[in-house]
Amino acid sequence: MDKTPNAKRRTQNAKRGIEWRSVLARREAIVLLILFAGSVIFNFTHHSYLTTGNIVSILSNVSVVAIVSIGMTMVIVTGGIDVSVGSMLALCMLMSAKTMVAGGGLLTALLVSLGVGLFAGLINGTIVAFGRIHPIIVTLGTLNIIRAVHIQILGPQWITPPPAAHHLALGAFIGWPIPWWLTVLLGVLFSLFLTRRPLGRHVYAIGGNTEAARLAGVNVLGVIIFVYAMTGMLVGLAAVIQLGQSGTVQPNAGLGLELQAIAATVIGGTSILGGKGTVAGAVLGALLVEAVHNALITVGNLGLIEGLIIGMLILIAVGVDVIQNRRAIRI
Amino acid sequence: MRGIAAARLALLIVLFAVLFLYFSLNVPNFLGAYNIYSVVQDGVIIGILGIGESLVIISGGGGIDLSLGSMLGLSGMILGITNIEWGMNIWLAVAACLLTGLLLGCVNGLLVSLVRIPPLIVTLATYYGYAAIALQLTTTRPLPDATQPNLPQSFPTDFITIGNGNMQDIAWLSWFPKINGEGIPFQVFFVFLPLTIITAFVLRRTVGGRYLYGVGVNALAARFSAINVWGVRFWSYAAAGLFAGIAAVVQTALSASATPNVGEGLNLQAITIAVLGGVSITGGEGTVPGVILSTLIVIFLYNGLGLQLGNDAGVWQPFALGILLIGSVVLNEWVRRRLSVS
Repeated sequence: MDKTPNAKRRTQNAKRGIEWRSVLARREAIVLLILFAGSVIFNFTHHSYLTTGNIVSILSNVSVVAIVSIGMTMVIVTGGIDVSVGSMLALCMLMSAKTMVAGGGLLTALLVSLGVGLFAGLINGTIVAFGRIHPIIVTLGTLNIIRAVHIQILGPQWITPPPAAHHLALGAFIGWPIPWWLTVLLGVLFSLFLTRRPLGRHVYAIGGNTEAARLAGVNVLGVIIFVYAMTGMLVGLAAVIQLGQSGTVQPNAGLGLELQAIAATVIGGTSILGGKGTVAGAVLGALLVEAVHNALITVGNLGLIEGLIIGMLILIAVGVDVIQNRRAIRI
Repeated sequence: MRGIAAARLALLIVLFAVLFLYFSLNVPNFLGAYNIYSVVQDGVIIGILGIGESLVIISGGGGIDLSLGSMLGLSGMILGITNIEWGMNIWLAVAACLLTGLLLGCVNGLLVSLVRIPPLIVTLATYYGYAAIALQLTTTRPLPDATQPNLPQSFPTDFITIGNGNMQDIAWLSWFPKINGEGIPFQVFFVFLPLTIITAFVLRRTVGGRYLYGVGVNALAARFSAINVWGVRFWSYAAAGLFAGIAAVVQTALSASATPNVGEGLNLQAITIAVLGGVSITGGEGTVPGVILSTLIVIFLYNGLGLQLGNDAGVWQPFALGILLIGSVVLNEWVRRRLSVS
């Protein structure tokens, strides 16, 4: 019988159930824990926080950012980044609002919005893949170009379309807001896609090691274009929800969305270096960001330092990740 | 290396000449002495940020600083608060502003080099954080604040001169000829020129400058040459913070007011200027003259479009900036490939 201390510890661990530990060490579990514990503690001082009405409003408001961060997760997993999502959202909102003004129903408006998003995403993906330019440069450029196109088409008047997307954005189904149902549905679909389908695995393969993936026969350029295009489509869907919720299209629609989506994604455990991350984490990260936002509004007069708190959340999340994987990061 | 840099510089000169010629011929007031004067006056701020951004990008390892505009806003607010609210001497307040910029840059540098969080994430987070602190300090009000009559209602005149004076206002420089009645802006001669000369000298002629390029080109080789890679990177972020502090002094003096969100749109411009100026986004490449030329291109493009399009300019200026940004990187790559083949 082996009596070395290591072996002893190993058998003890096995008795206590080591699976639980690995589950609790996952980022999704940590975020969920912080979310629950934080809400309960905050509820001691502000009793209106954990009421059904407030929870429903958090779930309803989080959907736009959460849906966009599903796409952002895929992009970041390939080792890229997309900072143009805010501008894309604005343009998609505008085009679907124009469709509604012209008499189109919800479905037509949704198709137009998805189409615009797909087109913008294809442009991003194509330049990133074929131009061999760093994604942040490409999308910083398209951020400005798309915003300019948006403002030019919008003109001086804000557009207030007929409320065709009202039900989709603000309605409820079995107690939950419809946008949140959509978020959960998309989250499950994309989770399954990324973990079970070959194309989904290729997304991770590229982020882990692009050269190895290419040599293994992965169509690297195709997959990169695919993730940016998919992000565009998700933005297109989020745009219709946003349009239904806000009712109008303004010049500064979607401003800062990219930062919220990136924050949600990295808080949810996606590594900015690529190759690692889950859709569930991103959705939970978006929930945490929205819960913080909501809590700050509940407190009042603290809205201005929201940026500071989100910034610190990002740094803590990534810092923990980096310190845990110190050895993996070379010079 | 040399060949690429020279080709780049020539290209930028041609681009600037074409732009300048186009606007001079097509826009009536473009070539007026007053217009050129005010463009250059404004341009100093973004030029300083562009040089700070270049230092960070040259240091490699995915180096980028998205927080320059926020650092500018926050250090400017420190200047306003120490002088207007606390009644501190203006030059001490300027020192506090510069120190704030340096400190904020050091925070970025520490997070990047000590904790080793990727720079994009660090500066994204501090971009949020610094801007939030700047807004919270005065709850979004600019200083001097007309709603608080018991506080001083302006900065001292000597200080305002930094942003609005001429170099010829100084007695022993008054012999310098004026062009069409317009002098040389104070901040160009006393801030921008010395700063660029010092930076160019440090980058080209000092050990630290050569280390910066070495770290950017090949961090592993630099480490085996006993260069403290992360130390060098730390100082590039600290320097960028200091440059943002300097830009904050000029900005506050120019507008005679400290405004919390003044730096909002400047981040992208700073990155565009650095990249257009030939700073390779992968690090290790870029020169000060290139960055100065690209600053000129960006500020005159903005101004020319503004004069030509009037109210529509707000739309097409960012559009042109986006095209310029992507175009300049494509151009960078193209020039590099061409030269490495031959």
